[in-house]
Amino acid sequence: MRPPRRILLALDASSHSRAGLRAAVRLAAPTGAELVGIFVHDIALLRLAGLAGATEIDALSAEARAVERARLERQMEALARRARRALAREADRREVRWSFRTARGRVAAELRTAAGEADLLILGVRGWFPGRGPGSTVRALLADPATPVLVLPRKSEIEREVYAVAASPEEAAEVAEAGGAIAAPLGQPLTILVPRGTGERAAGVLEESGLRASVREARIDSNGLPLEPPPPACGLLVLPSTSLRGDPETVRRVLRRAGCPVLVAT
Amino acid sequence: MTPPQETAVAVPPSLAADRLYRRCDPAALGFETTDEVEPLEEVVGQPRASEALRFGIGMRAAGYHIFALGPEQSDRRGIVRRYLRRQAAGEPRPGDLCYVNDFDQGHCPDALYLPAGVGGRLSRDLDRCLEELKPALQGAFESEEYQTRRQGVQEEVGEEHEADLEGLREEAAEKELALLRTPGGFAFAPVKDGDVVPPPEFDRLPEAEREELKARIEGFQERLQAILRQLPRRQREVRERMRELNREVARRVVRDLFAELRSEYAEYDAVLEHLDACEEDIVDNVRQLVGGQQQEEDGRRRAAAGAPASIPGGAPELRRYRVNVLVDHAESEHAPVLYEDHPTYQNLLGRVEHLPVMGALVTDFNMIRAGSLHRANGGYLVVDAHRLLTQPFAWEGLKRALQSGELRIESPREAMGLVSTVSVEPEPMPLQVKVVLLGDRVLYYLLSQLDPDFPQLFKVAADFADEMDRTPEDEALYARLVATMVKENELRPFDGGAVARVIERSARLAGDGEKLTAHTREVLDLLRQASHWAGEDGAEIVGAGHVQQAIDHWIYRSDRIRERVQEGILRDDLYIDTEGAREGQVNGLSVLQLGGFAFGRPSRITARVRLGSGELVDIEREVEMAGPIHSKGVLILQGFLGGRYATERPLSLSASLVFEQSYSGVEGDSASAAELFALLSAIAEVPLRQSIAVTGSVNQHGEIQPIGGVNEKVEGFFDVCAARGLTGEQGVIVPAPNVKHLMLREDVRRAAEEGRFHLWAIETVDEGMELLTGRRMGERDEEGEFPEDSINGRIADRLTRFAELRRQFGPAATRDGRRNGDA
Repeated sequence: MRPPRRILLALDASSHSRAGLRAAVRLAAPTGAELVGIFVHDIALLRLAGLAGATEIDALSAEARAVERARLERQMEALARRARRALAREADRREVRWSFRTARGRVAAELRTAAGEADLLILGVRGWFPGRGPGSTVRALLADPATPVLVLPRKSEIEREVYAVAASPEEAAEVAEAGGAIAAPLGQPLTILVPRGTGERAAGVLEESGLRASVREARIDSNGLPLEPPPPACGLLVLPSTSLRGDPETVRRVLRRAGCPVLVAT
Repeated sequence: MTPPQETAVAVPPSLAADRLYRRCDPAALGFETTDEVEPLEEVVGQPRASEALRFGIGMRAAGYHIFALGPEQSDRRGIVRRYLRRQAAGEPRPGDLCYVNDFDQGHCPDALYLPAGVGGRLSRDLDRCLEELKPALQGAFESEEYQTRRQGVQEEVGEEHEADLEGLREEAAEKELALLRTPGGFAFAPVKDGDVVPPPEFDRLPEAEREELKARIEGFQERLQAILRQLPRRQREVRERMRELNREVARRVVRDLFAELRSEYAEYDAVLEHLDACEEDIVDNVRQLVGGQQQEEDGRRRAAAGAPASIPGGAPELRRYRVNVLVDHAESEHAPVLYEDHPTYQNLLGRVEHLPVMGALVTDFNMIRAGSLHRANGGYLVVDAHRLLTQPFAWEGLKRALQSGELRIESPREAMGLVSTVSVEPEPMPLQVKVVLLGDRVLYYLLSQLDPDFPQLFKVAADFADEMDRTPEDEALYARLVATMVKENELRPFDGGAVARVIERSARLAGDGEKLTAHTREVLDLLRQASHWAGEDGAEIVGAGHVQQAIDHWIYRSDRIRERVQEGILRDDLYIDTEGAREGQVNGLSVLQLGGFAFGRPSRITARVRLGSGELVDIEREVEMAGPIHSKGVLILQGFLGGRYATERPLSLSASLVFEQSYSGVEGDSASAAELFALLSAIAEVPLRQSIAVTGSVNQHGEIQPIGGVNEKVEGFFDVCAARGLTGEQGVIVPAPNVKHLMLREDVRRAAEEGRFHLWAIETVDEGMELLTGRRMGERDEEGEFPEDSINGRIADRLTRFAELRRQFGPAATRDGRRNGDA
């Protein structure tokens, strides 16, 4: 994986997506990548607004009120404008090229489609729905990523060391390339985590590939899924796409255990 | 009229030179130099004031404060201070006075009384603890243990809510309903194949199915509402548990920090109570203390902008726990004795300072400042009464404090209700102090008369005398006083002759050969100057010559005006005859006091008489240049004339009297004898000797009464005569009672001894007239008539002629005279 030249950033104006925005600008600034912000009008909400007698419960007062399509659309437009303003403010400050677009449909599907034209998709670990683990969109995208996906928990930063996980010494070169694409522009050291007993081989593989990274042995399952939390110095964990096995539950468990931004390579 | 008698009289003998000055015998003092003399412990010459001070200082009842009245030159301040220090040395030092925050009523700081030295120590110890407080608290709140517990509390409650929502969503999903997050809340929608059913499809559903879906959704909505309504309670629960956790952590830190203090100050209940209150407040407000980083940044920003970061004296959030030591007696050894030289209201009673911070005036109990009453509490305070009374509100404030027996700090503006800004109202402190006011007698009598509170508060008057007796014993005591002053002020030692000369000078300062001045400050000035001149002379010991040199230089420095007056007389700008004889004209003598220097000045007094109706016109009075005593003296002359010469016929003359060339006011009656001589001379048409000057007052019976300033007056006339050349006929007539006051200059004495200048002491007008005219006054014979050609006879004859003329002309004559401005 080369350093991204076009980054797609999913924006919904939630606090999670603001963490994604900061990371995207941080990555784009040194690489000169173009930043494309996208806000998806969720088809599920639009359909809800069309249902006769649809009612919503106010999040603060817990009072019920009728869902009005016009009001809902105005609210969604307002969120889109907020997302655009946030993107403009952050990107302009770091002199990053940017554009913004909206889409309408299923969120995960629209993002996957849009990500086809980008080198990297960045999004927050979840949207507006309360909770701690990854939201449905992240779970759907990570279960079958077509483009490298960087997921950021709320308030997280990508300012520390980069660790990439390889299921085998042979994968070391692949994950080192993906991790290096992020670590190099950030100016952070890259460490490859390999299963125990394979460190030497992995180092050899890296040397043969002409890649520069440290190698460290860790408890890793055969799919490349770390069985222990990453080291405290870890600011970004790079996983091979195979590690998640298309399983949303695995995605949830891995992200919660990581406790830091996670990049799933393809 | 009786036949003529021998009218000429011989000039009576003048006073012997030894009566013009009372010497002090150096040999009688009994020492060579002051080094041999034991310093005095007691006060000299002020027995009444000393007794009053001893009584006032010892008297412990309320209201027995002291007013030390008398001349400032009497060193009353030094004497008062000496007495107070002696008394205070035997009294214990009072305790420290402190203020601490009242955590329940922040604007009413609590007074804290501690033994001497404990207040300051506590303040320093507590400050050291407070320096540690924030780092210790921050350390505790940043610890992994605290963070884990905090996260645990937050997650525990947060996860409950999220789990409820997640559970409801999953349950709804099983019922083919999606729980959606809308921009404003949550909503349920029917799903099919994982997607929300499109509206057209939903509309095509059978009515019953739609109703069933609707009912299903409503059921879930109710459950959702129940979950959401639990959120505030859950958040409150989080806050409550967090608060409890914070309190627990903070209390552990504070107890640990204060443990040593509690042990150190275990015997002082008030300190332990304050530490308890601090602990509770820190525990209650730990968030502000730990969140102080933002405040520090704000402070740095304000400082960068040029504004004070905060009130000085520690971090703002920690100031409330400090101890403000108003009065620290750690260094005191006994009860305090204070002199307040600038007795403003605030300097006396204390003040609350304010500081502008971000455009507002702020203060707290740390900015309470002690007044001198605080510092003197438990001891003695000396205040100058005049300064006190000229400071706005200070006198009222002092009285209020003494009457109430407590010290209440409030600004005068607040006390008058002129401002109502938020400030602090410190708890009043009990006041136990002895106040000594220093002031003039006039001030004392005015206060006694005009202020009803004054006699209730200042029951003891220590009246300082201006002078003391001059017996041989007193002279010996005075010599010891001089020796004491010499030693205390580290002057060169004085020999016996110098001390004797000082004693003689003291008598001259008292204006009385039989008294010594109690104005010891003036004496001290003389000692210092004599010591200085001895130094200039290269002498180790001060001799009488140095004392005289000091006196002469002092006079020289002071007598510019006297010299101008003398010059005016000698150049005939001011008319003073010192030889010959003139009718109705006499040399009177007056004293001018300019600053600390007094000198005598001769003045020509003239009288004119004519027919009239008995009026005696004092021209000085007519133009309002005479004081009431002078006017009284002139009216007495009228009584004398009437009583002696007009008992059986009307006094039919009109006379006018004037101080010639007097361009300023005249006061006092010391010239009344001279005025009478001029008047009698004018009536009798007998000239008066101009070589003699006269001083003395007279009563209606013609008796000569004593006057003040006799030495200066004699010397004033002597100087004029000496400048023109002494003829041996010149001299001064003085009242006989004034002879004991004579302490004349050496040159005057020498001239008198050599017969070149004379002093005559008289008791009656007749003696004076005979001296001035060289004629007999004459006494009434058996028929009540004066001898012809005697002065009395000439006067009686002239007055008879006036009376006859008046009778001939009738009353209109004298009325016309008045119309013409004669009367």
